[in-house]
Amino acid sequence: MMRRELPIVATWLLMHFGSSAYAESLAGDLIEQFHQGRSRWWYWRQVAIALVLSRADVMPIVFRCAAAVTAVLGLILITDRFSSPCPSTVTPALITLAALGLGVVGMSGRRAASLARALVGTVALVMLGAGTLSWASTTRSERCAGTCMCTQARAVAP
Amino acid sequence: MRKREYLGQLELMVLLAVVRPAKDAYGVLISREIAEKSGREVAIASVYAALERLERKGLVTASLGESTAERGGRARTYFQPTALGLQEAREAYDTLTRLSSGLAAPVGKPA
Repeated sequence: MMRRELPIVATWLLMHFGSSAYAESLAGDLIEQFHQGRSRWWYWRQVAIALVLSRADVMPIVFRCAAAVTAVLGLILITDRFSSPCPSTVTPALITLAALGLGVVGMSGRRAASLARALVGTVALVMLGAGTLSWASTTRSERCAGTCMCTQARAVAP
Repeated sequence: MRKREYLGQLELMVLLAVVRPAKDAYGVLISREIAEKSGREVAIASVYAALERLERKGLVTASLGESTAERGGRARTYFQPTALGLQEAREAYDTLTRLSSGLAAPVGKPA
């Protein structure tokens, strides 16, 4: 029987970022199960759980720091919205909501239900991504036009 | 009454799974045992995290087996209950039995 190729990246991640005392044995168990017919998806899922568990104690701190950084970014963008001739309403709103979401996840700790926490965290991360993309596209279009399109529009308007 | 640290649900299940098998218990076997008996799949990493906590509490001991090619050259870690672990499992079982006695009707179990 031909042996399936192991998910090398997942194994590498487990060995380098999994801090459990039994990381070697865990990797061995996963490899054994994979060769006995478990799917690639199962293998990746197990590795993801192992990585989250090995960093479980620092996760709330990471979320709190991310929330603080995002909140500062949101404030800068809100200020920018009122001072810039090309204000974007969506970007500051998305970034601020993302900061709130990350803050809620970071503060809730183990008290909140894990499903609700995961849901809020995911939505916050999606908002952060969307906010960053929308910010990047605004900045890029301004740079491509050489000057702000709104200023041009205002100058053209009677 | 002596002051004791209570075990979490997963820790207790893992401890009972370590006590149970005829052959040496290791991650996969323990995870399978819990899945078969409880009907819920448990991630192998969660089992190892619980085993780490149990070892820190002195309830299980670990010993390294031989490495095999099937496991990518990685050795199995086998777990055995200590005397304290066996006592803890017995006490947990007794406590749960006492607490659940007479509960057949409220929990919806047919009498």
